[in-house]
Amino acid sequence: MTQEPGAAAAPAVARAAGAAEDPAATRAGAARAEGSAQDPAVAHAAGAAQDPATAQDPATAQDPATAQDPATLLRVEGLACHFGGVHAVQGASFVVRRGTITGLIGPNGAGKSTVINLISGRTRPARGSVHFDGKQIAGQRPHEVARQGIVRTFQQANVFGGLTVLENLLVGAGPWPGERLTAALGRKRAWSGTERELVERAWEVLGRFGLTGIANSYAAALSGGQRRLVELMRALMARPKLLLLDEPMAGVSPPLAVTIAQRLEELRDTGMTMLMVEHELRLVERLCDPVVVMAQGRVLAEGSMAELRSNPEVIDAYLGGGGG
Amino acid sequence: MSAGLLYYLTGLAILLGINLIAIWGLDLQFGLAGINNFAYVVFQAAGGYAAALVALKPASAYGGFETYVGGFGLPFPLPLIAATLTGALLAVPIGLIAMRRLRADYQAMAMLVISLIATGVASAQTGLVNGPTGLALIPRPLAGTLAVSPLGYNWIFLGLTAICCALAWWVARGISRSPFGRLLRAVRESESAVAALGRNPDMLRMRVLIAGGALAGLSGGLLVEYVTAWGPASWLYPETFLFFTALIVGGRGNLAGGALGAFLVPIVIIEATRHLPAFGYPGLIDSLDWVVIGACLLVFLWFRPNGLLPERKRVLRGPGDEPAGPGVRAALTGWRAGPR
Repeated sequence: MTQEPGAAAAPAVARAAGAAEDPAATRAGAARAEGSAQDPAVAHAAGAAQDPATAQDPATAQDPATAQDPATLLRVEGLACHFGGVHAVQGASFVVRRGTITGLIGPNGAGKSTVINLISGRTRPARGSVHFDGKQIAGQRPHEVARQGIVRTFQQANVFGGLTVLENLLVGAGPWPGERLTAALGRKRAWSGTERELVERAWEVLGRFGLTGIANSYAAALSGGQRRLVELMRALMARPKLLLLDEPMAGVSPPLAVTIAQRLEELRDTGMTMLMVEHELRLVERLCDPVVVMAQGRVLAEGSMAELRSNPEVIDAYLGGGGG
Repeated sequence: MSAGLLYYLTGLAILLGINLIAIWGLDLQFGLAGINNFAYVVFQAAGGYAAALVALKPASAYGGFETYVGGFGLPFPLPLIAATLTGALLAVPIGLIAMRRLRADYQAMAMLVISLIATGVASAQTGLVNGPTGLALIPRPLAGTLAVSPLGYNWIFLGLTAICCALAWWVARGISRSPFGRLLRAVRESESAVAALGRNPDMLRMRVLIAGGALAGLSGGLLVEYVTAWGPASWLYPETFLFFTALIVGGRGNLAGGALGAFLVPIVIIEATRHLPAFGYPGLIDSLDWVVIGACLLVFLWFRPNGLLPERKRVLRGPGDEPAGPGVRAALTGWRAGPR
């Protein structure tokens, strides 16, 4: 049984996803749960100050350059990566400012998805740096990056097909102590309370997306567009400081694409920061500012879509005569 | 019912219980977490050897007809505890060698190779665990202190096996129904997505390899203490596929499915072929065991890959989904079976 998401869900998607008062996350002590999407300043302060252990680690030490610019959440500098003889990314540099959706566009093979993989730790960079919230994170493994507060979606919707939609969302929330092996072998009442609170939060997120009707459907049984939404909701359950979206509209029907766009707008309006790879330029124009253009592994230009449309280099490399 | 038949049936029940523990351990690794542990029988073998070496006295006490390291002559339940710990600890090196940095298909190959190496080492090193001949005269639990008939002892051992089964069931059920079990199923479905949500898939798999390894070790300890002998021929790599077949036939990710598979494959198939009238050359029927088991595995993989009792859907109800009834909190963690 499936249900198409309602197009007119309530505006406060982020409220459901990242409410400040979350007893589950508080109990869990999860570092990134402290950084509410609604309050970038709080998120920044929490992320910078709450973990003395990592603060002493050179790999995650405070970076003076980004620490002085509180508006910048992510700074990519000279990022490079090659696969054998193919130079997928060659010295890419750009910043993502708090509370914006930064678009990442370019022709196929430009290196956009590779940049997402490099930031999220899925691919190790050959050189360059990634400063996130004042910390150098380049070269960290994916789960370490995610624990810093960067959560991503994938080019092809990557849901847990053998889990229900609700379970997918519950995996998104965490890590929390109830997920430990010792908790599994201990008393259920030690974790069941938090579990219930997480279910309630997941249910609220589902409600905001109009998808409570498919809560207990297997994710494998959903349409491609619904899987995209599940992936997005699951990412929101993690309360990310930065959400990386790799072609969120790919393979999505037009009505569902409108719904996803509305949700992303609502998230942006509540202060969530996103970096989005997308080919649909009308959507990019509607949602993103600024937009970074990549071609052949390099950053070609950066600015608003209006500025980019008049940039001869961008027109030549990507937009062409029609301008998308 | 004659005493002989009763002795046979209690023996079968003991073997069923031992297989049940092993299959539930494999279900944690393969059914929940999707680890293709083709070295699973090595965990059982290690548990068996550990129990034997802890229970046996030094080799010199038996006139030196077998050679092995250790021989501590320790009483029940220490051999079984040693077996469980050995199975758990063995998971660490095997996990580090076979699971880190390798894709799932290569992990399976690495596991199979480890199994072959382990058999080779145990056979070639005669001073370690008496080489290909294996260990014999392994003391049974409390055998010296209980003055009972062979049938009476079988009943006692069956009780011990039942207690161990209950313990294994508690561990497997606790894991499979917990948020930890949900994470394991998520790892099975998509390792990359789990990592992108802040969990380390390697560590999750290692933990369940340890938990499953402990159950395999316990089953090996029980088996050795019951049959009182253990050698490389008892744990050749096809034994691993016996457990896999049982799990796939019964249903992975479902404790009842594992139990059904443990009954149908190692007990019903093996015992049914044992009672066939002799035909062909000597050893033909034994070979047919593996033909039947292999064919069974293939049929289920083709036509019913989720087994006879598939994994249950975990239905969780939210506040908005709650009909009039006992209240939101009571319904939130409700479970029910359902089709995939």
